[in-house]
Amino acid sequence: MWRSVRERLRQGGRWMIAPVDALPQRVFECACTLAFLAMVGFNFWEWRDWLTDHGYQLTVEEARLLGYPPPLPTMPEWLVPIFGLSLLMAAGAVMLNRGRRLGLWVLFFIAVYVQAVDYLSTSAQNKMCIALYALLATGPGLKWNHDRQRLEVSRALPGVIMAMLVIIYWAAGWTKAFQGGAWLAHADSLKLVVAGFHRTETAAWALRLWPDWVWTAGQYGTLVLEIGAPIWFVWRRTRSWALLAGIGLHVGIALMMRNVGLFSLQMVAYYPLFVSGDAWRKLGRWMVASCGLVTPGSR
Amino acid sequence: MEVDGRLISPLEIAGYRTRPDRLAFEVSKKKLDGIWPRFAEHLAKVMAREFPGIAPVEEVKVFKALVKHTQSEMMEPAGRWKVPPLFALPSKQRPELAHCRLEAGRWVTVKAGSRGKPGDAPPKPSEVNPLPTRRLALAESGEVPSVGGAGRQLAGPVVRTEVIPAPPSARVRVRPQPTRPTGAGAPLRPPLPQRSMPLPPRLPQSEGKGKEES
Repeated sequence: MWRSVRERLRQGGRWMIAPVDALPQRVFECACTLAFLAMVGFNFWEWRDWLTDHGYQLTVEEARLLGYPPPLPTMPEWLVPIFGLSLLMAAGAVMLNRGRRLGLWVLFFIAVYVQAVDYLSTSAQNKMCIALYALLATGPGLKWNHDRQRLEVSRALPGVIMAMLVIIYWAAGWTKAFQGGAWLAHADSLKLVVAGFHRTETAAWALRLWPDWVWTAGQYGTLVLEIGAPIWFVWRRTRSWALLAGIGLHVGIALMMRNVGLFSLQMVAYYPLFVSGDAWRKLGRWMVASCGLVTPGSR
Repeated sequence: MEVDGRLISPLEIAGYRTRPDRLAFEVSKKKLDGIWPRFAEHLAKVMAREFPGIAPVEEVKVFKALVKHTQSEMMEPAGRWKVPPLFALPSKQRPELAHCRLEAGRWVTVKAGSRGKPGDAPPKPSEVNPLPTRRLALAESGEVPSVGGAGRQLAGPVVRTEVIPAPPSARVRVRPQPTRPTGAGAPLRPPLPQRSMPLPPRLPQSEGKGKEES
């Protein structure tokens, strides 16, 4: 019996590292990098305030008092264009799959720098990018399979990233419901969140127009999607519905909550991993035929 | 003057907030009032750079503006999130986080805020500048001019900063202020004189005008 268990474990291990189609991961890498570029680009509008001593920056002592690690030093103004150029070149390397590994390392260090130079302006999105680029930069590389004529990658890497999304959703839902979020205790929690300091003009319109039951339905729908994510996103029969619901959720957040749209973009950037490589190829062929565009990773 | 966080740090974070809003939130949560003097110093530098015509800033008060969710303008809002002018809020909804003053060339905390350390001593009567009292009185009557994001309000709880320039006798001679109507008919924020107190260059002129209408 013990031999059978060991054999099963070995089989499971082989399955975990078996090569799979890399196209979903390539689409994910491009989407994730676009979202990261958008986030950093947004901050670049105020680059002087953000990256240089011109703005208000925490000192080492203040950061310590606030519970942050020591901040990294700001940069002189002449270095900012070089920083921006490095970001663009690294993003280009990742998206075009030319010097991808180096590009991923550069993006990782940029994400770490962005986090540590100014803790006050960072968000969960940047922390997520640090983890993702660390995973991608240290993970197994892409290999071209001549027989199947496609790029392949070990299943472990996209598997870990998919698990990451599911865990993020589950934890977010659990916190809202049971850890002080009070989303189960009060039927108007979502409405109150939207009415607060994130409220956009679209949100104000919705608050005036929509009856309370719509907000309550949205609130419980969000909880069902998030807490049930390990089922909805893993089970193939519910996956496409979960992706549609997730896109709806994030479009809603982006429209109704100021400056949270880039976070929504980052979350939706995970979704390509849940779509098969063949589906992406079909979409790619359709795009080539209709618009003359190419999907990333296709050769 | 009432100054919002956008003048101190125009970089936006999630919601209608800026970094000073987050700083105020974190500092008040952890009761770290020692951070405010350097913040006040930075603000004084920004004011001197953006508004070279005004007297140097000698006192800074930091407030938190709290807006109740149950208020009708929250549940059926006319538009996007806006915090009302600080002194239009009841005093319970604008707790003072810090009061800093320039003394002998150094910024010091005169009084810890209502969420400050319990050991901080209240200001002695001799330390109280008559100007703040006058300005607070003006503020209560709706006559505090606002600069820097007058039309681009932040989210709550947010930081609002009142900067108090030096008394007229100190450096700059100030013309007597014309008498303005008080009471319900008084405008909350009178139009800003363009030459002496322009809006910051990053904010469009229309934003400032929009606040006047609201």
